[in-house]
Amino acid sequence: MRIKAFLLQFSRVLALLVLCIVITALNPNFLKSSNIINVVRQAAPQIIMSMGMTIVLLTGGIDLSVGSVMTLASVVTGYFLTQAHWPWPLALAIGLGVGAVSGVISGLLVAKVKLPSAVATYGMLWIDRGLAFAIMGPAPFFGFPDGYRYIGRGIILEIPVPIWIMAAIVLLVFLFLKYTTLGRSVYAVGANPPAARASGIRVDRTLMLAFILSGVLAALAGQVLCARMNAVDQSVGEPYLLPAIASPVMGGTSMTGGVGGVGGTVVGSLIMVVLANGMNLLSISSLWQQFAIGLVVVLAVWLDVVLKRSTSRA
Amino acid sequence: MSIGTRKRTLQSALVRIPPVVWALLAMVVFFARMDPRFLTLSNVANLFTQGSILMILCMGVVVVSIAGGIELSVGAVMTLAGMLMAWVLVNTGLPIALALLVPLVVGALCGILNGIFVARMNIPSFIATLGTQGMAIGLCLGMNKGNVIAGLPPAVGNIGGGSWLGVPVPIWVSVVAFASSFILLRFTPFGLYVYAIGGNEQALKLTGRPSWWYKILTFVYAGLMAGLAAIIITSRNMTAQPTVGLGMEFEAFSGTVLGGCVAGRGGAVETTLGVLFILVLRNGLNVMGVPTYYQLAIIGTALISAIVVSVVLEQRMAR
Repeated sequence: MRIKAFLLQFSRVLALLVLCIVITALNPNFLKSSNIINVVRQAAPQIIMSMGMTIVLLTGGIDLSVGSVMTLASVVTGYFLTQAHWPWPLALAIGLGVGAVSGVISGLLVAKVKLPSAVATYGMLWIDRGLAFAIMGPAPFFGFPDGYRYIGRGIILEIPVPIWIMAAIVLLVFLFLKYTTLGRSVYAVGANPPAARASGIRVDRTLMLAFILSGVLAALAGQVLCARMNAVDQSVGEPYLLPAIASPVMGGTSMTGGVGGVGGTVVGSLIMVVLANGMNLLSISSLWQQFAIGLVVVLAVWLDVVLKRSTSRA
Repeated sequence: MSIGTRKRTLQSALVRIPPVVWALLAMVVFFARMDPRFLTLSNVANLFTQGSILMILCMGVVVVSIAGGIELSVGAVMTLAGMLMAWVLVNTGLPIALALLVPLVVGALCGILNGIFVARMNIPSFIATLGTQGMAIGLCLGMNKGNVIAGLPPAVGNIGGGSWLGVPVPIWVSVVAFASSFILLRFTPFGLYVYAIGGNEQALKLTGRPSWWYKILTFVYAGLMAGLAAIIITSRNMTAQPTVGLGMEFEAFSGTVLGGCVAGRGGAVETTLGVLFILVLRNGLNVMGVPTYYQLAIIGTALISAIVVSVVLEQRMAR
């Protein structure tokens, strides 16, 4: 069983390698170190966001609002940076706070009102998107102060800051899930809620925490992205929702909760980003990429369902 | 004693009226007091014509909802069907009557795709339909490089812009869609199976009926309705825009949920109430001159609050 699990995990790394080899064969530019760093830097917001989604999926829920949370948080930060001219650390903190508040509301709707998480977070998706529209009005915010832009553009030891942030978040979430009581209870709640409740885990609190973390990480992903682009508009987070679901699921985090982890999500995210980067290098229109992503999401979830069934039969 | 029973019947009748009706009445009174133009005949006619698209979409989505599914692709499917219909009309010499079949076929095919994802591949319905939504949006943008398709034959405009017996065609079509879903859900064996799938799928399977097949059919029905909506919206606008259906799936989803149509419960009438709620809210905000970008936030908040209230009320009653 352990060997099989190892093989399953390894098969995803293998898929990533095969994908890289195919793209390199079609366009050798892929392997240039500048392109590799570019790929990982592009992957940073998506991986940060997928970490939050991984935690929510582990509890057996789903967070469909992450894309809009990212948009709203970025828009709010952008507002305080360019319209109110507040110091950037404060604006950044407010942005992350917005993510946390949105997560609190989703968490309350799921844990207390007992709405299905897909319904609750789908509602939040539209509230957050509407608020972002209302705050921004018709024109995008741009021209951020240098200190803030450093988050997206700075370089430490020849590695861009977004990659450092991403690495720190991945490590923190890994340690949280693996070695803290709360982290372990995330798994327990997803695997078997009645059993978790019976063994004294506070299911409500665990669910709330999962959605808050997801909101904060989605907000952080937005900060990293907007600091690099030096601008924010109303649709910045929208394209990130489907990859954020696909990355953990492709990485072996089950849609039904309780199974999965951080490592797989990183590999899953890289697969998605390499796929997009490959399509760019092969000059496939970005409009078609949406089609490919939709397909990949469905296939990834299907694979999860099939694997789950085959292991439960064995 | 007879007074007591009568009181109780009245009470239960009051309780049985869905909360959305009260909310609807409150909104109508509020908007009518805020602005006298709200209750004019022209505004009401306008509301129903504008709302026909949402009504048609909801009549499809409700069948999926009652069967326990979540359908989030109708907006994108409607857009794709409209784009392909316009493309066929502009680029091929196909007679209009035949070209009108194109969106219906596209809708049905997308429905089959959703149905296979959900019923045969066991993918959760909201993920499957989100995936289909992504694919459909990609195709809409990719097929004409993100551009609008214009230059439809003028005769097409008679469908969405015309009227019959003094009533605009879109309203007739939404009435037909309502009748179709009403009869389907209430008076056909298929309708019974739809409720059974939502209520207790295992029981239906034990009777030996192919529940997966009925599930696929629910998605095909929703797809067909999206195709029908595509005909109306494309012929009314006389162009096919790749973003026209943006957000429609949320309104359609909310319409059915507000009407109380979830797994095994609800129906065409309840969904119509949910649709009216959304339409009145949107129209009232328009009449009051609230900017579009504020409307999104207000509608979203109102919808989620309404859903929460109705769920909480139900939980209270169940206790």
